[in-house]
Amino acid sequence: MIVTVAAMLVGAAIYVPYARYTAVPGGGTSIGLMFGALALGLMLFAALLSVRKRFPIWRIGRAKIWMRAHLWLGFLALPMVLFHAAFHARGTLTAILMWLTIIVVGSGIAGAWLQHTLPTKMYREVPFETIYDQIPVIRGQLAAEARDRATEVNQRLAPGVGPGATVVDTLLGIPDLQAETEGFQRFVEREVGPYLSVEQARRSSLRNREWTREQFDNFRRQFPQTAWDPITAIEEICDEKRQLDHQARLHRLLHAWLLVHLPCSAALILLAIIHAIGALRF
Amino acid sequence: MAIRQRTTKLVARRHDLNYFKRMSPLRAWQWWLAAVALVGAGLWFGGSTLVQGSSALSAGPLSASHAVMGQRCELCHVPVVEATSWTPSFGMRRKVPDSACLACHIAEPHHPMETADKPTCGSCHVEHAGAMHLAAVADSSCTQCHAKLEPRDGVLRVAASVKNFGNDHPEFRPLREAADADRSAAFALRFNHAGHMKAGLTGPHGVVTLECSTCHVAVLNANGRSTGVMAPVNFEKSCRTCHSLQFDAHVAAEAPHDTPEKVRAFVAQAVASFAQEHPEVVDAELKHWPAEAPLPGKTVLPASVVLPPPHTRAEWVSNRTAHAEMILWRGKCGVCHRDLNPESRMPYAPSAIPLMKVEASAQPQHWFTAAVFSHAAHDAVKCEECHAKALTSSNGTDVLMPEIATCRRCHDGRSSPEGPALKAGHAESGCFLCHLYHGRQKPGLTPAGFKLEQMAKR
Repeated sequence: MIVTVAAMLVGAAIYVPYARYTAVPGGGTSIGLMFGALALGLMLFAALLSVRKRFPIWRIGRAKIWMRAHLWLGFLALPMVLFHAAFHARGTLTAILMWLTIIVVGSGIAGAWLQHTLPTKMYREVPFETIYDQIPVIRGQLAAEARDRATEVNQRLAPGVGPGATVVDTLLGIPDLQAETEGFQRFVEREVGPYLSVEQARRSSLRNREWTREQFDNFRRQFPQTAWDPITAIEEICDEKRQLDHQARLHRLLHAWLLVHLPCSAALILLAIIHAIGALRF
Repeated sequence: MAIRQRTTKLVARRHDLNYFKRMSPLRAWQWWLAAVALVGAGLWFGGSTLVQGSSALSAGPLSASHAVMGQRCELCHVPVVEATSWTPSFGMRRKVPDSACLACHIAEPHHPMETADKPTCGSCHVEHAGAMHLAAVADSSCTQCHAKLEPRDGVLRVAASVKNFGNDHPEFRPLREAADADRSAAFALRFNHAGHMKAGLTGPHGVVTLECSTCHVAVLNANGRSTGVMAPVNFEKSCRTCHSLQFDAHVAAEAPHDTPEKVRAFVAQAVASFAQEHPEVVDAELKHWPAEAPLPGKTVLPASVVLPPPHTRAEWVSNRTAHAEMILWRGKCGVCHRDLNPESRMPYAPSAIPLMKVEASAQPQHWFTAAVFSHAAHDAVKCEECHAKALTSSNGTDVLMPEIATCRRCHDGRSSPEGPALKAGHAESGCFLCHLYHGRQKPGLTPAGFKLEQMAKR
């Protein structure tokens, strides 16, 4: 940051008298060319971060240092471009270059802010955070576990008819909860199953934490305590799914800016090199 | 309390350990879009180059004058002369050499002492900066020397330091330097502007109120349009209507507005002709001298001069001519012109009326000696807004050109020639507006001999 601020101040100190006493300051003057060469150099350096990421085992500086240099020196490219063009982009190519620089630096700043703030938010709000690419796998496992837990509820409510049932169990008798059991199974099939199988599941009521708690509390009141554990387990599964959905949202927010930053950077580098060659030619 | 067990081992077991072998959809999109952007940028530039040629690399639009050559970069960007074979050749010069400009343009030197280190054309006339007027160069082009002028011969001919018109420009030279004696010598006329601007003056056809444009009109070009330069006030057009040069009640013709010698000859010939054509009038007046009718206008003869009665027709002609000359010298010409003949101030005989010696008027047509000014560009403004002193001036030696402060009311130095648009409420104030770098002669074009297909689009 110190290097960037110092470079900006030095650049401004050179630019202000240059712009004041030059007839029409622009990229073609000696000082304008100097700013342009600096800007191109900074852009190329910033682009090297992608190369560095492709080869993480290279011993060419710590990743943290690279990222910091990418952020601050990449940001410095914008004032250098503005000084180079004297805040005017008159040609089509130069206007595209200036706007691309603004977009790239702007998206980079937005990305840096998101990456600075969202991980903390995710750590705080998603205790069940997992690897983003594993979310569909985990979601499938949660759906299967929910089905098992629902079966377990049935077994606990009718121990005399399930596997391992004993005569004593059967004889002791358990209150007839057939209607309630069918209701619970219907809830699992119609609400829990679809909610767990689809990411986000925007129409599902289970996205609402309070509503979900009320439903499961209701089931717990309907059934004897022997069935509470699997019911609570299903509630926890729904809660984990809700967190995974939240994680997916945050993750997309955390990385979506790259959909703008990366393509614009690629186009910027290519067009900047063409512009530099053109400047040398004419 | 959580019902489900969630140990590290259980959580780890849930994961598909081959997940990293597949690219994440988000990352895949990033690379796909980057590839599309690269290809798109390349295609755009390739297409632009095909359609526009080298002008696709243009740093900005050309000025309106050069726009026609916008796709012919090579007309100005002259190929590099490969004098030194070891240097890399990029095919074109980055900067346009002066020779490319001088192929079409005539550019006089700024001053006779201009030497080899004069600025290049492109350093002042910056191209590829939009549709701005190329002659509208930035003030800094001028002030790089004129902010602290150091002539090579040490003799300052213009102000030593001028930084801008708004607040660092000396008063106009005629107002700054002209002494009263100089002004008097320059004008050599007695003229009362205030008197002529009064309402209800008596004219030949009744009451009139003069306006500035009654006397002051612009020089017109061949097309009848104003050149922006005010023509010198012409006696025949502006004055004679009221200020008649009739010199004798018998002679209808008026004296010409010419040199005293020519006027004297005209008067003598006119009076003699009348005497020859009308001997009966002459004979009648020989008996009753003086028997003249009053002349039109306010013509007062000096009471000290009494012409003796004539006895012959020749004496009548002689006396009558002397009378006419006195009317003219004292009562007509002398209203405006000072008589430099010392004999006019001494007593003289009627037979030898001294010839008037008119002080020559050297009123300049251009008041600005180092600048240009166009009245046509200021037609929208009432004359007295700038020439306010004309309403009160009663002395012909007053310099009635506006002071610089008057100009600064609009040209306040808050506009910039670099941009295409001026700041609202402020008139242009750049040096180029009044001062011509390449001399007073308008720079012209020299036939470069281009064919149309060499200039127009490909």
